[in-house]
Amino acid sequence: MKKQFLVLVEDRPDDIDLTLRALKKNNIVNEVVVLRDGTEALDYFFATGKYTGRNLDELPAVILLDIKLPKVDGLEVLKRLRANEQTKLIPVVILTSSKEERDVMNGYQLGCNSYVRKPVTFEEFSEAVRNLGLYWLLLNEPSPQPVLR
Amino acid sequence: MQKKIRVTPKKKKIMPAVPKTALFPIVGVGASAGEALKGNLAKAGEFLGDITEKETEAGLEKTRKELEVIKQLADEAGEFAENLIDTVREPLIALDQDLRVVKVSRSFYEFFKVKPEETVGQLIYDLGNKQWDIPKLRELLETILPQKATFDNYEVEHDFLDIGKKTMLLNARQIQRASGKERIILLAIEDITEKKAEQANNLLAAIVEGSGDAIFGKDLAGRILSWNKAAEQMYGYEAKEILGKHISLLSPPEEKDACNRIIEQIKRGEKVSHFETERVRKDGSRVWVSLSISPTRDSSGAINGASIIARDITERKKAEEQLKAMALDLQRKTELLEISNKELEAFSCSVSHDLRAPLRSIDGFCKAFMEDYSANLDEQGRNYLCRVCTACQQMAQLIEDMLMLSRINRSEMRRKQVDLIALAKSIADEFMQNEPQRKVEFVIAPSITANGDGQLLNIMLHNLLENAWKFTGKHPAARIELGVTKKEETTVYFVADDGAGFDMKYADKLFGAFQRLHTTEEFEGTGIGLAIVQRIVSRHGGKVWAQGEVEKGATFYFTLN
Repeated sequence: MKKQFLVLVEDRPDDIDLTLRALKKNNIVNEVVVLRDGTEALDYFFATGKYTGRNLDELPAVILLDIKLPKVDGLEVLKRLRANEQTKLIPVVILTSSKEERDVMNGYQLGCNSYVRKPVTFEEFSEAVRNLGLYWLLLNEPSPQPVLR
Repeated sequence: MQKKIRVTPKKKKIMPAVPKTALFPIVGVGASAGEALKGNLAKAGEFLGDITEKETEAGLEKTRKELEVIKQLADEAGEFAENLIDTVREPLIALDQDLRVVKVSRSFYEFFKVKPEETVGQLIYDLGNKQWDIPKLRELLETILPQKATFDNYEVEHDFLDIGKKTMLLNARQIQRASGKERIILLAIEDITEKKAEQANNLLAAIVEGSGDAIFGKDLAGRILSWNKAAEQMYGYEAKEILGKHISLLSPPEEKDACNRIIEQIKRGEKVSHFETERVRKDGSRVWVSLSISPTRDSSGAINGASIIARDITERKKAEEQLKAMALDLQRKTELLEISNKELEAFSCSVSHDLRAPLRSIDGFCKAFMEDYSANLDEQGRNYLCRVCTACQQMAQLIEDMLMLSRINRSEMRRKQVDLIALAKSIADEFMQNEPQRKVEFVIAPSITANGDGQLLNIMLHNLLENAWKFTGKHPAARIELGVTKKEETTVYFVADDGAGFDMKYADKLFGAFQRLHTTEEFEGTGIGLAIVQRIVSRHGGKVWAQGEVEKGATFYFTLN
């Protein structure tokens, strides 16, 4: 079985670097698949476009999903993931700048497992990433893989 | 023997003398009859004075002859008087002192539709089945006349069974004859019913003519029958050119149906009140009118047309249109304002979020730089980086505050009874736990509830108490009070402290967003707290104001509607 890995859907290079740095600093060395917009995320999860032929059985321990994304936004990605038998149980954590009531509500209604607002200071940001990594990679027991025909 | 009676000049038609019976004892003086009688009586007196005993026989004979002459003259005078009475057009009635009818003129019988046999000798009140028992007549005969021998123009209105309602003008004479003889009362009755009606009609006509509203009449076929001055002015048609024309001449083409509908309504006896519509003047221009239309009836009560009162309401309509336009304009502007407000909120919201991203980068990479390369930096270099990070944190706080402010404006109000005491106590506990070393006495009234949004009131109270907590921070001991008072029936809440206070000349700056009366070195903060308080209070329809004195403390008052 493939080692547990993370998916980070994030368009800002700075945030990608800071997230990766925070993971590394907290000794979380699992592989991180970085997807830079909504379309790429959908291609990845449904093995289309440049991800055609990807092994769909490989599911991440958690998806860290930004809401504000170019082309297809994070909420739309979440909706499509939840509508698909194979991806509907993957834990999704929304990691975003906004904590607007409307965004949080939409996130939960579409079936996110957690909603985290990115802190501005690196200490807090790092702490948040550490907690997420530890929780979803170590503490959380993932659901058994759905059997697909 | 004679009683001379003054003839009322303006009432010459009334007989000035009273016949009692057919044997007429008194002859009053109509000019020629009076003169003739006077001469004969004088002769009789002369003759009587000259009688001697010798001449008795002859004298008696002569006297007899003379008396016969006198009697004949008297009979002639009586007949003359009776003829006179019967000739007078106005009903005339003579009563004895018991108010029984002695003599009645022919015109009386004709006018009152009574017969001689049921009249003469009757008590006047009993005439025509007691129809004459009229209180005003009793008053005249029994009260006024005994005091005043004559009374003119005494108006009596009475509804008679046979002849209907009549208004009569009575002239009464009480004629006192020589002592021992009975009093005679003569009543002359003038029927002024029609004159009265005519007067009333004239008055009505004058009112109609002088009215500022157009008043006109039409028959059931819609033909115009009357047309007053105001109608001429309002519609531009003179009476002579519009009388007989069809009423639809005044209606604009789109109103012809309504015009016919009104005629149908009138035929059913229905009124039309304050019907607002447009009409066309002679020159083709339009006039807004309010119409009140009532059916008119002929003497048998059948509907024969309608009277129309039209009031020119063009000015009012104009004002209404203007008001409507203004209201519409206002509504449009309000909508635009709401839209732009929402856009602004959305903008500030998104900007605030977007600003946080680069800030995160600045802080994150400064920290990364410090961690990875601090060995290559001297103290000053590290200090500079620290300042960048501090500024980032301050900016992050400002953004938070801005978001909070905009969120308060956008959040939906959920009003209910809120226990302010419970909120205040938990806020105070939080402060005391965070800074246990401080000596602050919280004085909180035993019971304060307010109607409002719990979440917003909590934020507001938090900001006020935090403000008090912060500005008492430099005093060794402090007192913070939350209380409630009344001001002209309005509940006023207040938070008072004995801290740094403020100069009242800056009072108007207290509630402005990002306005500060102290430097960050003195007291921390972004200057958003009181702006948030003000927005929350105003969203509740209340007011907030403050009183303070430097180093003596500040009190913040607020009301919630």
